[in-house]
Amino acid sequence: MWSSNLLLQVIVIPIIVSIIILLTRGRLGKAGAYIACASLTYTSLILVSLYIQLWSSLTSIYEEYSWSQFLRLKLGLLADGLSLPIALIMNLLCTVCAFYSIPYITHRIEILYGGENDKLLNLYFAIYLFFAVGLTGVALSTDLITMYLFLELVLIPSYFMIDLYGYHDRHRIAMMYFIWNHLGAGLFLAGIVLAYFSNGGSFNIFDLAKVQGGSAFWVCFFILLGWLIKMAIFGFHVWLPHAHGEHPTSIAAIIATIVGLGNYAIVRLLVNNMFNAFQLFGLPLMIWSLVTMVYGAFLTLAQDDIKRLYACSTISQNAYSILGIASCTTLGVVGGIFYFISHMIGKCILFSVAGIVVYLSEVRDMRKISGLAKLAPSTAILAILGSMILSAIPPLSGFQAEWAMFIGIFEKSVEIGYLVAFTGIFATFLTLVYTFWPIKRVFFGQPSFESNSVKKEPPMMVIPLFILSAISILFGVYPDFILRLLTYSSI
Amino acid sequence: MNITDFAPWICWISPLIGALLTLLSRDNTVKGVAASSSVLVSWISALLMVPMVSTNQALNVKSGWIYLPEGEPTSLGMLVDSLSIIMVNIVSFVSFLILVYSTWYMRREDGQTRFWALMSLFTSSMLLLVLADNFILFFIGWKMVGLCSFALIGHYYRDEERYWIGGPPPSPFQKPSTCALKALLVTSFGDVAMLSGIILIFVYSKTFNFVTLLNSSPEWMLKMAQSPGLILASIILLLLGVAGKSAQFPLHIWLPEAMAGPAPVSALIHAATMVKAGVYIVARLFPLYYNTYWIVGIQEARFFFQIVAFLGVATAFLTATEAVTALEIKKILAYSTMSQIGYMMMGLGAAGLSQEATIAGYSGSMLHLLSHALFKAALFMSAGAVIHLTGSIYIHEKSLDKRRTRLIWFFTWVSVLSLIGVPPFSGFWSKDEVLAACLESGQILLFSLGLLTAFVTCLYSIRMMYHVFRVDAKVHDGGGHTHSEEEPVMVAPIGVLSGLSLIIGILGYWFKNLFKEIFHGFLSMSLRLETYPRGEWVESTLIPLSSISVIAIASVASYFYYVKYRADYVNLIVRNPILEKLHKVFWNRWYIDKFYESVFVRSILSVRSGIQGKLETSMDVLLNIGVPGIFSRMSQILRSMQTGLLSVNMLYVLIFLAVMMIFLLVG
Repeated sequence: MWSSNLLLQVIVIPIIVSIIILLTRGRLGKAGAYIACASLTYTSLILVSLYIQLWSSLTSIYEEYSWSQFLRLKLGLLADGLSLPIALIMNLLCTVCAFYSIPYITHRIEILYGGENDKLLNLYFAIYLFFAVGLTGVALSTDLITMYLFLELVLIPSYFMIDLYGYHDRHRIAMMYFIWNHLGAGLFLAGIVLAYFSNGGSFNIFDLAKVQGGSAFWVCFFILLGWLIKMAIFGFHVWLPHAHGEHPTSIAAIIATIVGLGNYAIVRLLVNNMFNAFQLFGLPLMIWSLVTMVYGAFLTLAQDDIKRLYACSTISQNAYSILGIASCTTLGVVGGIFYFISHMIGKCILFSVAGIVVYLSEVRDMRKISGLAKLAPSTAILAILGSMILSAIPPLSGFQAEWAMFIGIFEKSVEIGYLVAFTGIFATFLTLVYTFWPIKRVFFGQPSFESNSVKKEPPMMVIPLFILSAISILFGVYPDFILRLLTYSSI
Repeated sequence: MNITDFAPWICWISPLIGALLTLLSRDNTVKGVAASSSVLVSWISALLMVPMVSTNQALNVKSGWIYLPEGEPTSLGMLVDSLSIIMVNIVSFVSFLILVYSTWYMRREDGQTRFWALMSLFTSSMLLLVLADNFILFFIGWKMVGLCSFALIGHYYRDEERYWIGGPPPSPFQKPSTCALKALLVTSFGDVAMLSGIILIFVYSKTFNFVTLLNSSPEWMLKMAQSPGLILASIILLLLGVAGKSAQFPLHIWLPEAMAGPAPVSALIHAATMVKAGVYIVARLFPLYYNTYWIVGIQEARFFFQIVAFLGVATAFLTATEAVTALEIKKILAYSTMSQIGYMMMGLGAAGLSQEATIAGYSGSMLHLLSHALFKAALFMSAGAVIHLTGSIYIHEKSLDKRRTRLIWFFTWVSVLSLIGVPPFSGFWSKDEVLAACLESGQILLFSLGLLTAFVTCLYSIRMMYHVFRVDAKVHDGGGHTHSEEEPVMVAPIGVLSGLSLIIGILGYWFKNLFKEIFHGFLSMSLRLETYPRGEWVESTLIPLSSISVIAIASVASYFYYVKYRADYVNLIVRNPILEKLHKVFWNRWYIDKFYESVFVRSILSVRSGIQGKLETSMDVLLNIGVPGIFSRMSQILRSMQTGLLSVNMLYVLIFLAVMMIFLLVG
């Protein structure tokens, strides 16, 4: 019985735990945090076992629950080669960041509200659990409305997170973040409604294929634009550095994942079901993402604030995946998703490193820190590992994802000329500049502070990140572990 | 199952395990022993592969690895043929000696765990790239070599002043962490180009495997040749990667700064790993482009050899002249490395430009790779000893006391003579072979510039030796005692290497022909020529004569200039405006470095504030303040349109609330 509704458990258990934590009103204290972490570890383990099962058998897992008889809504959860890797990685990131949060957010609450506060600590974890539910739900859902609802389940908590636990300008930025994301979500919803009326009244994702003719173009347009705004493509990127600048770093990876989620949504909704309509957007999207890549890279180079640095790099890195997906070739799409997954791991590590740097030194300005490697060697190693993922240095996963993706882009170039492909691949060089230069600035050089004035790096913040690096190395050394699933569902 | 099936795997995996083992132990000696013995295992397994050289067969051991939806699956495979066997033997042997030497050099240094783990990983990656049977596996080794070099060059990442290089004032100093970053960025730029070249080839050939690429080259090369310029583009991209890693013009600027790490690191980068990787991949791809040009008849493939030869000769000459003015001992050696790698490239380029020169050029270049690995490793280790004992990185400040460092003095001379190309040292035979190939292929310009470089090589080598072992100058403080300061673990590796330079040199004629036989076998297997032109192998006396006379003139000149008159170069230069100009150009490295710095580094640094301050802020203001502002004005207009109807008023309220939300955000 327990094994028949595993996907439902992944969704429901964190919600139940969250409600329990909320109901106890802070009486659980630190235990509340550990309960939250334990529940997420459990859901991650479920997904890992499902992943191994899917990898060896290549048969998708589908669970369906009746939800609303009246609206004919069903909660369908599908774990196939595309959604399960995404769901697993997101859940893992949530788990890792949950452990990381314990020392980080305790420290943050002390600074913001003066002293330990169990209520706020438990509130944080109660809200936090919804991220895991929402992100996994978006990946697994087979229904546009449930997908939208799960998305809201991530957006609304993240607003509270920024507002309650963020940095100095947090109230204004939380609102800005909320409005921008709802602009995107609103367009997405418009696309959903349009699709509903033009395919004979179905919210099922796979019925998108039934949308024909001119309305297919518009459905594709709205969904694409909605997600692109959320993905902070050039022109709509102005909210992202603000949001990442002010949020508590423990949820940085979550925000970055929300940003990158668009890659998955575009592939799941448009590439898989509305390929003909999506192809029309291919070339403009490639050029747009190219502009984003280059501009994002230069913008990243221009940053002195360590948190904004990695925020701006998200703009650029996401555009790589879009470039791959927009090439409309099998390897481009597969590589684009692989790159997204690998970028998420890398970005989670790097944001958390930025968090540790801020935690240790209370300084965000990279001009004022140097030589941190002596005092925080593990953090320095993590920064290098994360940068290796982003700048595609083997044996980490970024490299395998990058070449696979660029094969797709180069294959497209046979039709459209090599300018796009060459600009794209040479823009990856800038990634190396903007990841390794800050490492030199922050971690190398003569130490900017007395060695005994700085705290030690807490193992709770460091160890989960090393586990993530190990996963990235696994994907890098044996890329078939993920490519097999992605290619199976893309054919 | 044959032992040779396992040997290539053990060869590169052993140092990888060694790297992990070093992390486990707390004892520095144990770390050193673990790392060196793991490389020793590599060398033994490399030796086990040697018998295969005589059979002229390629062994491709592979297993499934990456399955793409299209094209041939990429395997996890080892390619064992004469080329890779000779390379792994050189790499593992020299690396082993360097690691043994490191146990002495590093005994009192900080960060030993880092050092030993990275040195092992460095060797392992180099062996992997040599043994890999496909581009992806090769590129993994290639990139990891780059990353390890970054970390090792930046070994003294805390940038204490005693580890700064450059200078002396008024020339600026460089900090190790900057040098490491420079090496990483420059080589990685080449890597990006190379990766795009590899992908471009895959798009047409649908395979990464070297063997399949070669066998199917007529088909996919013809397909590629249909779009003109594409083959040339792929060649340029691949060779940019080579130029980056092998420190060839125009990406040669990182290597002089790469000496910021400890001396064993420099020795490893220059002699065994890293810079040799570029030569290796050119040699590996040689048959591919050779067949395409000479057999399939695609003209564009000729560019491969032309560019290789041009880059080689340009680097050889440019960097040799820079070495004449350098004052840091390791910088002189670094320039000379680039110059010598240039010779290897020249040889490979000439080999492809004419069928007569093919074997001489190819085997000569490989032989030069061997001699260079021997003498350059020895020289860097001696340089490490010199710096260690004198405490100065400059050759003009202090010199070694010959009485207390007799063995070092002797071994360094042997290696320097091999570098100059004096018979009967190994450098003589290999350099002559390369020059012979240039002449046989009819490339007079290559030949004469090569000869000129040999002249300059002699100048800077004798200058360096004179300064380091000067008799009259301030001798380093030996604490008053006269017993030898040499320790066996430090001298033995230098001795072995320079001894081999001498032995190979004495057996030079025989050894040269052995290499020719090996590579004749190798090339006749991979090249598709019907009747392979064996070449006359004319033992023309012209080349040895001309190179010996060039060296003789150069040594006489440098003897008088540097030794006899103890030339105070400052005085001499000031008196002669032409020399002064030349000195300035050489000292500033032909201004190539400065050019790159102002074009790439300064320009990016100067646009930084503009991007954030002007471009991004204006977009930010427009979208986050301007657009909400429009809404707020519209709401004021709407408020004046009161109708009195409840439902309309409710709508207004809703809009107002929405706008206020945005408005709050602005405030």
